[in-house]
Amino acid sequence: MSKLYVDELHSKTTGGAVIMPNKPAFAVRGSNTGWTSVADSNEITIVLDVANINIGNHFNTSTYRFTAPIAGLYQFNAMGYVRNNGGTGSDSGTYGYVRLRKNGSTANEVGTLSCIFGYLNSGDADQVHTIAGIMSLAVGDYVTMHLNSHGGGTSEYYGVQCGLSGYLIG
Amino acid sequence: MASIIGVETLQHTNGTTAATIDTAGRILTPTRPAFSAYRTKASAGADNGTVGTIVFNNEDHDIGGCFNTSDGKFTAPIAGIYKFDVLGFYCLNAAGAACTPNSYFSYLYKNNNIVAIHYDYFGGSSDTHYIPANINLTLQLAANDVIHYGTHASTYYYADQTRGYATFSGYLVG
Repeated sequence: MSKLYVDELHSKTTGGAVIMPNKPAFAVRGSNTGWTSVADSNEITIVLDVANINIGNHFNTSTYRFTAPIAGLYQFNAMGYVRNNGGTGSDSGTYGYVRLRKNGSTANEVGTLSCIFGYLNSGDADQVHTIAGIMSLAVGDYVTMHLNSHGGGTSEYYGVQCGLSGYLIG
Repeated sequence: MASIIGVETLQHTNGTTAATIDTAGRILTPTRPAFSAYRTKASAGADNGTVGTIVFNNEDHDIGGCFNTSDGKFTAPIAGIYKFDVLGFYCLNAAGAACTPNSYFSYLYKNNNIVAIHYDYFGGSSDTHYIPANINLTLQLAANDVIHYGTHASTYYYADQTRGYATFSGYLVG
């Protein structure tokens, strides 16, 4: 193995910025210009079938999974465009979660980053919710984005307005 | 012409590995300070809501040991640019009920001074709902600067036995 011992690294070019062209990174979104519904006490995987960035091709736009190519820390950012009960009337106690899951686990929400929405009693509105956080992933661990509904009604997401991005921190 | 060196490991002159490069050109930085913490409560129901400093009392990882799960505070081990993400939601009271119309506040603190505010107000006399409370911020820190998250004295922050509702993460960008 070759090793380089240094105290500082300097860019040869002006500015000093360091580019890492093989850093695993992705930015994806949905393409569906319509609402997708999930029933009470259920959860669905949000369809993210368009890749704007996919360095290393580690996000699969058919399974909607990012699979870690190397063990390390990864930063994720997600945006969900959601509503409850068809966007009409009262939520009447219906609420949902936009979630990022590690390996699909629901066991005590291991590795999950969650964002709650809904529970409005008067009127209703489309809502945008965001998630940001770090996950520690082993090689082959995968991350998916989900919509989860509770409280007796339905929850919906609007595909083309939902997105997920992430990258290897190191 | 660009200058190129072929190398698999970058080390400090004292032998500590700073970065590794694999055959695909991917770089890992195994000593980069980084943490991801989350808050849970031992029991359900009675004490889900908390005011003031939020103690994220569990960790997924804490490289460099810079986050304290006893007091919820991150201490910068080295000067640099850091990114922080707080993810959670407000509730009405200690019992964890949904919020009623009012103003709700929380803060990210640097050395006990506010550096970011999350604020939500909603009206509608019969509305109740849980309010997402996320702060995402990049800060330039000196060594030993301390970062923590807390709410206004009248704003409750939710956690229960289930993990994933309240998380706090951060890392050294460089």
